[in-house]
Amino acid sequence: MASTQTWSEGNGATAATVTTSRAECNWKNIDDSTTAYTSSPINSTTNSNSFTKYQSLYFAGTWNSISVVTLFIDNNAPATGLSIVGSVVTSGTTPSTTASGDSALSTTGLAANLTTTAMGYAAGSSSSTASGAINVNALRTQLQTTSSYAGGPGNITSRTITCAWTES
Amino acid sequence: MSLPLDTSCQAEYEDGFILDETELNDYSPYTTDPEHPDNILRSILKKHPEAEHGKMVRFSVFWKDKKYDVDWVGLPDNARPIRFRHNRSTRDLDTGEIYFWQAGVDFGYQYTDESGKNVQEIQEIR
Repeated sequence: MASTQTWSEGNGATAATVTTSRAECNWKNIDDSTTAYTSSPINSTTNSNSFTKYQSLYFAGTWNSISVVTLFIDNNAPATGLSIVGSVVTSGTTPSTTASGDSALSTTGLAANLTTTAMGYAAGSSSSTASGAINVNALRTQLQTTSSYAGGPGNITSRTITCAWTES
Repeated sequence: MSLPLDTSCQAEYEDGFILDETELNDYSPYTTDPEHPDNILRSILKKHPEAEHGKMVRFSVFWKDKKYDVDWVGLPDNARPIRFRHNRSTRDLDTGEIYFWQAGVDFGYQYTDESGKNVQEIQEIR
């Protein structure tokens, strides 16, 4: 009788093809939610970036109110020469390795709204009192490399993103 | 009886009846439309039990094996319970695993007094 949550990813044209509950959600050199990152690693020797990644939290179930929604990452600087950037967006752009233009992804919380539009691609409102189904504005992220990055393709310490909200 | 879950609520009424969110798995016995069931907090807010059990005398929430009470006796009839859960959903971007967790709960009461002034008292429990 409270809300339930699933995470979705948007891929393809305007990042509008939605898949849910994927195990593969690493930053990588391909725009999908299935290919292992080891098969399509970011080309760090040319200081490339990952494809931009769009993720959104989807609420289902019953609630009296949901409000004060924020999104954040645990750490936006995983290694020297690497930066994780991101922002809350109200529309999707076809994912690419071009620098997204976003600032370092917040570790304390970016405010987001709620909307019934898939992937949260609409302005939405800051609270919901209508149970059923609703999406949080999408979080666009990108792992960027810089000229100072000395590592090759491979693992970085696993990162987490969190959606926080108040619910009654 | 189940140990009340963190952030869950409970209400006690004049005849001793207790409406417990955890015990009822958050499904209100006062639901009239099974397709759209009420949860426990909604039934407390709508005062569903009061016709049978008298006025609410206590509103409580639970957090880390402690119970926090609001003595409802003496509060005006238009007082409403407040209970906001601070929920989190964290996704591990390596494994895709999702962890639901709670950072705390805010609870208390709110009412509008005779002069139209909003009166509320909220305790942040972490």
